[in-house]
Amino acid sequence: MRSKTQLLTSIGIIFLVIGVSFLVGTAYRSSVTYGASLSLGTLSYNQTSEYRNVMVYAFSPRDLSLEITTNATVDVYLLDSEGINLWRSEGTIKPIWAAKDTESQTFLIHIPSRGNYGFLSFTTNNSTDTSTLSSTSLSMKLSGYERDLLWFSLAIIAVGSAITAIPKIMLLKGNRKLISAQRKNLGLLPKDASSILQQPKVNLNQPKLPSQLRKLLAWELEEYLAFPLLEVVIIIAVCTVLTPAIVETSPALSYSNLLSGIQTVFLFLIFVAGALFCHSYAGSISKGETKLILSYPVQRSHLFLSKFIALFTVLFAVYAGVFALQIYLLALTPFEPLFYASLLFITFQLLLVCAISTALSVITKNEMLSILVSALLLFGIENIAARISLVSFTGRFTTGFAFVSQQVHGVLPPSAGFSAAPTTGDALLSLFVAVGISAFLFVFSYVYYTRKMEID
Amino acid sequence: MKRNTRIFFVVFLIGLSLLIVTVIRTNSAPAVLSFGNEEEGATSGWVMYPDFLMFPRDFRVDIRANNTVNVYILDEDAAKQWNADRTLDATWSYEEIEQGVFNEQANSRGGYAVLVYLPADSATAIKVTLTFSGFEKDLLAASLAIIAVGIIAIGVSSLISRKKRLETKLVA
Repeated sequence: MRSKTQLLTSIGIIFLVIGVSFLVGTAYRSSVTYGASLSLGTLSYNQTSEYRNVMVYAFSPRDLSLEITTNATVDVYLLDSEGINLWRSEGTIKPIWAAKDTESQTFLIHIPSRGNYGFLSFTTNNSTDTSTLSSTSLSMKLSGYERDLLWFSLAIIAVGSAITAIPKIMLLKGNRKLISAQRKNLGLLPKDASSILQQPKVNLNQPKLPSQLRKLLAWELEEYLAFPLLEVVIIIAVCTVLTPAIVETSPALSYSNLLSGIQTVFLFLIFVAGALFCHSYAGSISKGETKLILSYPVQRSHLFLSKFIALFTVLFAVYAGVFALQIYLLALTPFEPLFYASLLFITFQLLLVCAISTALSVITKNEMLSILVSALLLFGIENIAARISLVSFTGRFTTGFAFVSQQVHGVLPPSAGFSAAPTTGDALLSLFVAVGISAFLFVFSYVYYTRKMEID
Repeated sequence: MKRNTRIFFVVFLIGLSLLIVTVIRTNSAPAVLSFGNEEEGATSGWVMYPDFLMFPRDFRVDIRANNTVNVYILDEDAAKQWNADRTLDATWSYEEIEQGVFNEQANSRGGYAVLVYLPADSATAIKVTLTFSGFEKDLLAASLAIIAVGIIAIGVSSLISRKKRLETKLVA
């Protein structure tokens, strides 16, 4: 029963993550506004044409702002792909939207579905004399959410929520039945049974708390950084951090090179940290190690903290150590503020990856599933969001880096891609987005692991 | 794997990773830097071009001018000194030259600057091109040294452990 529930929960979480990823993608895509302008050859209704030309545009189901500029009164039609075919083959106008007898005006059109669309413009003057025909220009702008993507992501989230919630409800009902049955059985016991049922007091000689935590830390380091995990982490760190392209050759702006190649660092950091944390938390649960450890007088909170502290410290030490080599390689001064700012930003991004992986691990309790979900989620966000968007690791890093560069050196790094210096608000947001989400997920995982999580 | 052997193996792998990095960095650093313009921009007197970051690699200096010139490459301190009191302490000097190609080796990384002297009595156009090639020597040396230390340490530790095993066998 429980394994089926777990399987359903895992499937539900996969759906939820896919849905949320789509939703994030939809939100991001909505921030991109597409625009185009065209001059439309205005026809006369009684004009016969051998070749009925129509310019075709691919539109997504968003809101289309259409600004018509004309020097006369015209009829403008919007044709879908079926309408375009009809117009081209038979000369029949079957529009999905029309503006009759219009002069210069702006319209808002809801594009119903993804596909090809075309515009036709006719002068209401029936003359065939081309000299009297008007000239019409259209300015188009697509904005808002892509409705098909939005509904798809919401539907996936709803399905995911339902699949996650149903087994929980089933389990709750089952537990209630079990409790009521136990109560009935208790009623059969003699009246003084309560004194018999009292728990015996066990006086375990528990070890002192700091020493227990220390032993758990040592065990964690030995177990989860065993050969060849630490070696792989070191090789990846060295090869990703120290091989960025040298884009700035001026010694005065040499610190700008810290920015190049940072996306690769984050992509590998996501993979490495995610895999290690999921291996430690979810792998330990699924293999039964956690259950075994907790059968000894070990506090859950200590076990949770030892895993987090051990792995985070090792990852931080490896990446910070390798990153420190950049001071020498880029001929920076040891007191270069941008180096320390970069290190701080990398630390916070690492913290965020660790917190996300931990939360996913304790919820799914499945190593492979949590690795896949965390990697897909974070890789997805990193790839979908722009280089300067605060949604992505690279964007937050670039924003913070550009802000500090502007404050300390008075110039924006040329490779950052900013036309103006980021505001203090943006810089603070880039910092606190990572810290805030990390803190929330850490507290959530801690409470769930120590108070709620059932270990099979 | 024993703890000591593991530590030495990690050292060996760090060296190996640095070696890979050294190879990759030969392509990631700029290969050509040019200063001046052969066709136009004729001027005269002392001209110092913007400073640049140079890594300890092999490089070729290609000088092309339409008159006899002096070309100097200064390191960061020498450039500062030149800017402060016009004292010339060049790392590489090419004097009384019109055209020429020279192969050099940079030994340390840091900021460098190209300083040229163009005869004051004529309008001289000059172009100095630096073409970099090869590995960064300091990184290469460091990685090879770390690899060597790692291999030696692994070898020594395995020899010691073999000796201990033999002794235990003999005692038994």
